[in-house]
Amino acid sequence: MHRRLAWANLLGMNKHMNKTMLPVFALVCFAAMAADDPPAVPAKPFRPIPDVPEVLIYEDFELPNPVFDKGKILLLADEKLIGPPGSHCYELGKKDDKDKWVWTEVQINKSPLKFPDGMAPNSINLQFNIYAEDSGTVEVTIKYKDKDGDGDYTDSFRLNKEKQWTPVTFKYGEFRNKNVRADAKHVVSIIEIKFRPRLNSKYIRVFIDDVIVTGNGVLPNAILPKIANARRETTAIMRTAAKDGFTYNIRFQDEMRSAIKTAAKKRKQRTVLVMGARPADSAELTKDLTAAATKGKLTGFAFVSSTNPESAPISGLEEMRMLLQYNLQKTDAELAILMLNYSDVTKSAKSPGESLKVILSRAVQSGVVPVVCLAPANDKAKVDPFNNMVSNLCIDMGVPFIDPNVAVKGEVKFYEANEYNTAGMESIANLALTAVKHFDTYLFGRK
Amino acid sequence: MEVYFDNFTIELDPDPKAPRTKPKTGTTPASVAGAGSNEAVAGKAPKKALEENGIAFGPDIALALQKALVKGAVANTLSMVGPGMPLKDLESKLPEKWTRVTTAKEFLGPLANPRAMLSILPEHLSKDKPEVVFFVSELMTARKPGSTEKYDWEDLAKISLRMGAIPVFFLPPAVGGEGKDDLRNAMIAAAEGQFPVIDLKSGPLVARRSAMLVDLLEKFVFCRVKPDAPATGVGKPIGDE
Repeated sequence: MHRRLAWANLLGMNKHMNKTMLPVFALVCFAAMAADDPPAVPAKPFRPIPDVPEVLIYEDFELPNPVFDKGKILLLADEKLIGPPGSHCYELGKKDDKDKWVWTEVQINKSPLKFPDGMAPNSINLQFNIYAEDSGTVEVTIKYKDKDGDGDYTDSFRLNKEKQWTPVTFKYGEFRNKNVRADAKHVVSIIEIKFRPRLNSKYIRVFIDDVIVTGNGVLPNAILPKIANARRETTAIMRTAAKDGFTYNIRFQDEMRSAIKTAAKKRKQRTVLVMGARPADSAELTKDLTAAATKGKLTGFAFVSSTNPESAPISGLEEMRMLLQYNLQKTDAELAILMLNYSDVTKSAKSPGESLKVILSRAVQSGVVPVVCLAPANDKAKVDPFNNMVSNLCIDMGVPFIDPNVAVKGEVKFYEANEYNTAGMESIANLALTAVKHFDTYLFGRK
Repeated sequence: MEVYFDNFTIELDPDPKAPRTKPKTGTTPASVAGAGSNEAVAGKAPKKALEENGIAFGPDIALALQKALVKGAVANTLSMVGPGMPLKDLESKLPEKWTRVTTAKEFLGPLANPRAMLSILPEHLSKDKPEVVFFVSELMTARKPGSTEKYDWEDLAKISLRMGAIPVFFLPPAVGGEGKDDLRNAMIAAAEGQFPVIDLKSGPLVARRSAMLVDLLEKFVFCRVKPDAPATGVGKPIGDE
């Protein structure tokens, strides 16, 4: 109010106000009153690496990213491509096209990122590494939305080098579509990265890696050391099934921490519920885990076998679904190791994926970390498709999984009637304990 | 004075003077003399449709229950649980010759949603061994069914059968309108023609329906009573003895 009077005084209106001046005075007062309210803090724009805000997109394909569509993530080593051991790249998918294009659709509209969002188009750069079996043309099309509707513009690059990684850089300000050019007011919805082979008679395999989009006029190459530094922590905690036998990543960590926080019940620290593959396995794995913990001088952990109310052991997807909540209630466990068995693959109910999804949802909503142990893959032809389905589901739901087949290295001596034998169970216990310890350190932040 | 009715239903009350058949104790399905094998008896179960009779039951359900049921429950005992409890109309008149197993307060009221019951029901069934469990949903609810609602109800029913109890779902009445019947639909989908369901109505009708269903179970699932024996009704109101 004081400020309002001050404004009126300043304009000399308080004493000599007439009808003509009234609207002007009202406007000035309104502006002054608005200034009395605390200024609205604009929401911080999304950045994938908060410590390096110049980076708008950074994708090295080491973690699944549903924003990239049409192609698939592959292990570099599997494709005999040069790169750090255990690292991944992205193979462009086939486009149903007479020119045999391969492509990926980067669905920016499915991510929280908004750009250019007022940034000058010339200050935005897009870069990625590309590897093609033959030369051809790299074409990038950016689809955008603005107040007048949708549109797109394109830029291309002639790739002459074949069978080697080549960095390709585009400047957003140089994208064109006839008279339409990139504008700061546009909002990018999709980026299409396409490759047209030199010969349009057959599809060729094309891989991309390290996709970076930077703003503020920063060149992607210049910022790479900063990105590497910021991502060091992320990389340090990451575990992959292929290399380590279990999965863990920053996305899972964030999601699980949030689930634990929102769950109504506080759970017993370092208590782990064990659901074995066969009824006898729960007790055996529990015993092996306890022994491995003692041997590794890990104190404070309690491993508890799952049972039905008559204290009989339980196993398999169906019983897991029925009695997980009961066992979680009874034990107050904060982690649950859920071992899948060969029967789940061969004799499972109508939709094992649906059942597993229900189990995992219930566990997560109860604030419990479910750790799925893939089925024993002695009979690879039958089990591998099932295990792929399970691991994809776990990745989608942000749930960790253990691949015990890594621990037993697929050796026949660890299996018995397509399930794990005693030696196999011991190996799995060691791997599971490593995973539990990792979760304890990074997810629960205990030393 | 003018009186208006809506959804007016008249049902026959069983003849109170008709001779009653005393149910056998024990839960092992045993053929009633002269009625043929248990499976044959189940095949003769009358078909009851939810829309017409307010009960879903029939030969398929009777047979599925006979196959899935595990022995060991205490005959003629029933348990009533769920977010729709306590429900005076249902509790005050139990089916004749049946007794109710007492349940902890966690099984009654809004907190007894299917997810919560998954944690506590196995212990109750193991300890008290009821032969039938009435899962009573809310008549009206502000609770929005979650993504696993159907599976939660389905697993409650499966746990019950594993522990020797026949699950009976009491559905909230159909309201119509988008999203308003989600809970009802989830429960019907969970029953999937494998378990009996009853349309939940206020008033004495709900007690009659439960008595009718229990009578059908006695005849065509437990096979303790001859299929052609007169139907039993609701017992005396509790507290009138």
